[in-house]
Amino acid sequence: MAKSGNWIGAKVLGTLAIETQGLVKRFGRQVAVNRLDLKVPQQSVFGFLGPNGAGKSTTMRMLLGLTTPDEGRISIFGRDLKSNRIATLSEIGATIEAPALYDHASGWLNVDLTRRLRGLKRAETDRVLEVVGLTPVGAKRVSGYSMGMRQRLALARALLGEPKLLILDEPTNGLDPEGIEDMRALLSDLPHQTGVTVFVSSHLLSEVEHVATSVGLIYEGRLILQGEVRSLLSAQTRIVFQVNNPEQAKHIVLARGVADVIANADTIDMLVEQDRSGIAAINRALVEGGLEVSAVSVQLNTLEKLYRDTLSSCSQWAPL
Amino acid sequence: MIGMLITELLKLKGSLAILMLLASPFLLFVLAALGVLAGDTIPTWGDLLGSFVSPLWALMLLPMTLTVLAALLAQIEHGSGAFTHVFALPIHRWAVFSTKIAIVVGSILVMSILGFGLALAGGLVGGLLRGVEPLGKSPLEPFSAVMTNIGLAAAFIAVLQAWLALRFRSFALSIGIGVAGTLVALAMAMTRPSFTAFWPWAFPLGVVTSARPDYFALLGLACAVAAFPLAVYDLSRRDVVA
Repeated sequence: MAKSGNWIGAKVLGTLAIETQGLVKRFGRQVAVNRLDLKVPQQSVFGFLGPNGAGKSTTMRMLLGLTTPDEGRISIFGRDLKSNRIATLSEIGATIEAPALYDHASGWLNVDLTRRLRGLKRAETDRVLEVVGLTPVGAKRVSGYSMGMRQRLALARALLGEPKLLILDEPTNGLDPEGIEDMRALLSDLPHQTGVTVFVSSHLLSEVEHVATSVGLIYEGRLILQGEVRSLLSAQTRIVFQVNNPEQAKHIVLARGVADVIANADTIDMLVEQDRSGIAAINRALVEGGLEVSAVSVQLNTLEKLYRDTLSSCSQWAPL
Repeated sequence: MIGMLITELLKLKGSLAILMLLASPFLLFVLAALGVLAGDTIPTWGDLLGSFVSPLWALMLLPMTLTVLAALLAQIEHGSGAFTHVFALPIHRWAVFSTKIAIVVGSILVMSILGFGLALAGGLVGGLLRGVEPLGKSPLEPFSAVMTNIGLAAAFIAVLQAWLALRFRSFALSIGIGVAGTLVALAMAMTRPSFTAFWPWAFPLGVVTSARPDYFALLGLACAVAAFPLAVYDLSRRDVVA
């Protein structure tokens, strides 16, 4: 069972954008995805994280109906994917793995071919090329495009028809720092501007931390953590008090019901809710206990630390 | 379906497949012209088109072109991993595969019409250069019948080659089978002509070597009609790999 943060967004909006139940995919004897229960709130930017070979791409392929699950079900906006594949996919824009483009054709034609297959108006091609800033080079053959331009072209195709759900596999791959910044801004703004839900996989944790409102962490095919980034990170925040007697301070804090307290040479640190009144109350208790508190600091958690901690805590799991 | 056909045809714009579609019929022009220019005697239209151009078209040029064309068409998707993108769109897989196979089969019509015109033109140009014209009566009717029958007989090859090329990522496999099939057909024509009715790559040759050209045309067409839905079913039910 995966650890979970809270799902306020999902509760407010009702139906989840993506929900999987007991999703399993095997390749021969290897279990690529193992009883995956994914919950992606609507209008969120959901970061899907995991090491190479964890099952990210297989999961994304199943979400797009490219690969058939061996067990479990997938629901997109409350609709069963298996029985409503075409209707469901009409609400999704996606890029999977490396941008799959026709090198012999122009950038404009690459987008327009997809536009035609989706049965959209011709103006859509120009609109999405404008969004990703490729209008000036639209007539050029894709074989002459840089990796960053290819990524943006693939994103343009995914944006055709203003989908309700964007599924993006490593969208910042090959982008220069400016391109990464642009992509980050685009992904952050899209849910507010158009109401789209963005499901993005990346191995760049800092990237996901910048844009994602929710995350899911997959390891050896299992979802080991998911929830809102803010609640997951604040739940892991450590507060450090510099005191003259750490051992005595530890007893005082433990007596207040804080469980995870470590006494160091001249400090104590503890896992607490990042809450001003809570921190102030502990500070007051220490002072009233006769201790001198010379400094208080908050060690903000990062997604990377959470990722590493969670992975190390479950690396001994046995496969299905 | 028409929209998908136009989209699939647009994908060919600027690709080698278009070149292939034009190059093969153009070879008939060259062969016919050489047939007039290089011979010791002035050939008749019947000898030139019926005994020289048509057999080469039936045995080598058309089957090989279909083999390469199917591979090129499939590689447009396989090479770039574009099937992953295409099948993540709200379209039916059977529609995509049907259209692609139909294009390979349809290319026979395009190449046959071009080949017909270019072979006649080649004969005329060869004649102009030599200062003579091939002898005999007008070749239009018999040659059009032969080209039509060869085309129909080759329909099964087109479906098979498209099926193989779309099924397997490696173009070497489909091209290898196409080349081997054609070479076996050649060997069969020289040693066991009666076996041509059992070897798809030899069906077109049966049109020009047997006394029953219509039989081979119908055989190719019937096999193609039977294989088409099987191919589409097989291709559509599989998971999409990169």
